[in-house]
Amino acid sequence: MTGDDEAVRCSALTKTFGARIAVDRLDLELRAGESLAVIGPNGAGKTTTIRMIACMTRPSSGSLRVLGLEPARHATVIRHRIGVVQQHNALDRELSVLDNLRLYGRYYGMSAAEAERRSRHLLDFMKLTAKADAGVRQLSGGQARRLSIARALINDPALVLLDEPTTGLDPQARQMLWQRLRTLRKRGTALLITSHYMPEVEQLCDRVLLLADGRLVTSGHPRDLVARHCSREVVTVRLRVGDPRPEPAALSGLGDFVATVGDRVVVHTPDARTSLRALGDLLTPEAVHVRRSSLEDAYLRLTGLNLTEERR
Amino acid sequence: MRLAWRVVEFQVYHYRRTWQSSVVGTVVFPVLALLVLGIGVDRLIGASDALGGIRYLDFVAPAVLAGTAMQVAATEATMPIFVGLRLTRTAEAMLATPIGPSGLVDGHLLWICLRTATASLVLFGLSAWLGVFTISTLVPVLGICLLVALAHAGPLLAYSVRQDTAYGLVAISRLFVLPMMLGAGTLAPVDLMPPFLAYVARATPLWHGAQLCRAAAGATMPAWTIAVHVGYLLAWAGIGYAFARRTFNRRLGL
Repeated sequence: MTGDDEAVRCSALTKTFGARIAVDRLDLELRAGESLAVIGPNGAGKTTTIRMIACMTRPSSGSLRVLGLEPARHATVIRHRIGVVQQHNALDRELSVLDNLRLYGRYYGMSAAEAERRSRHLLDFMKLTAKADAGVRQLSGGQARRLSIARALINDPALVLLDEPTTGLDPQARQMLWQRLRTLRKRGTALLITSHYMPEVEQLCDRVLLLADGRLVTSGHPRDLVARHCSREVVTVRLRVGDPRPEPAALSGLGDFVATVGDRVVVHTPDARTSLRALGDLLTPEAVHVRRSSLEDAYLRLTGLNLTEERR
Repeated sequence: MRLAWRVVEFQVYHYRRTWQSSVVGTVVFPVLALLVLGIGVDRLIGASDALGGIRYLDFVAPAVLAGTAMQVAATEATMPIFVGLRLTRTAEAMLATPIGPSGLVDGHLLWICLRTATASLVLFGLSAWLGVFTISTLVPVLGICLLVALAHAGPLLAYSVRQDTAYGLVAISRLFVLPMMLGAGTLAPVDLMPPFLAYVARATPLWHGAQLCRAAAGATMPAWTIAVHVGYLLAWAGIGYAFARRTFNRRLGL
């Protein structure tokens, strides 16, 4: 990776809060025009990673460079060139939609005219022009989220950090946001996204880092992760209410990976037909669902301990 | 500093929509206090020997100005910071911009100066009309009020950013701000207080600010005493500012 297109590079990045290790020796690289997802269960260290890259908290150890600069020495310069969408919209509910954007532009040293021009452009980009003079209180959840993302783009950033950008959005709003984020990536903007919504990660991201307990579990292209950690197909069987739960040992030969979650048996298998025949000998299911495996299956398999704990 | 003015710009926009909630505490209440104490109590007790033969109005009005400066600082340096960081998170959003933690501190202090200046102007005008100040003392009185506000604002900003709930802010208001407003040599001379409380009152920045305002109103005071009062307030303002920036940077940034 050359210095010119380097968006983020960190090595052995660690953040501790007292005795708790939030991020543990994380290595990460992100280039211009690339989209990287950081996924993992709650408390995995995703938001802390974003906050360190955004110069909002100091790493405890390790090296970190953002846009080729060290946050400890060049925080203000870095903040000038990045956009941050935090989990909370953090919009001023007393101000209008346009004023929220214009004032944010002023934080970057823009003239009033430039801030106004950029704000109106972004309102158009996010399809919020009709709401320009409305109060933030009048916006729907999806509109507020779009405004929050528009605000993070006010300085035309080279790197955008998005912490769960589409949580709580309806499918139409989510599709629209994905389209806008893809447009940004094509323009050369680097995107770092955290998400719990795996279809979003598959749609938007070139690479995925999976964290658990602050540590990197695995990384790669979404398709590669699925191929590496999942069988070709997933069979989900819902058991009838009152039926006894099968013994794990009896199910172990049904596929490459078998888990019982509540009233469901999930089987990762290279051949669904064979697994279904074997299942029929053991169970009388209420419903059966067969599909191609996805990133969510790889995620659940790799963070499967949580499922085990829940099952107990 | 240029970016700190952008924080002030945000505050002005915000204040245009929310001024009603704070103007009562920082302008209306002090004006009423000045009228009730300065005119009402003044008529009740007249010129007292304990006050050195001056009108009670001349004694209390400068203290009301200094107390209002403290009140503005306490209002703006506590709850808005807490709300912006913990509830609405608008202040947290600023931290991701070039404003950063230091700009947030500088911007808030500038805003507190602006609010203090406007509240002080109103009270100065009323006091001058009542014959407490001459117009020529406007600039020094405004300077003293700004100094009093800054002496309180820095430490209060540092305190507020450390709070995870609003209880600590209520406590600071009840346990420190209100008692100082009443007992820091504001409504009665500290010499009339029990010795221990008199020492405590003299240690408060508000007492030093009130004394300076009284000097501006014509109270006789040696130059060295004025220098001590100014130095004491400058020390609070300077140390408070450094403490606030350090705390903000440690808590909210790099």
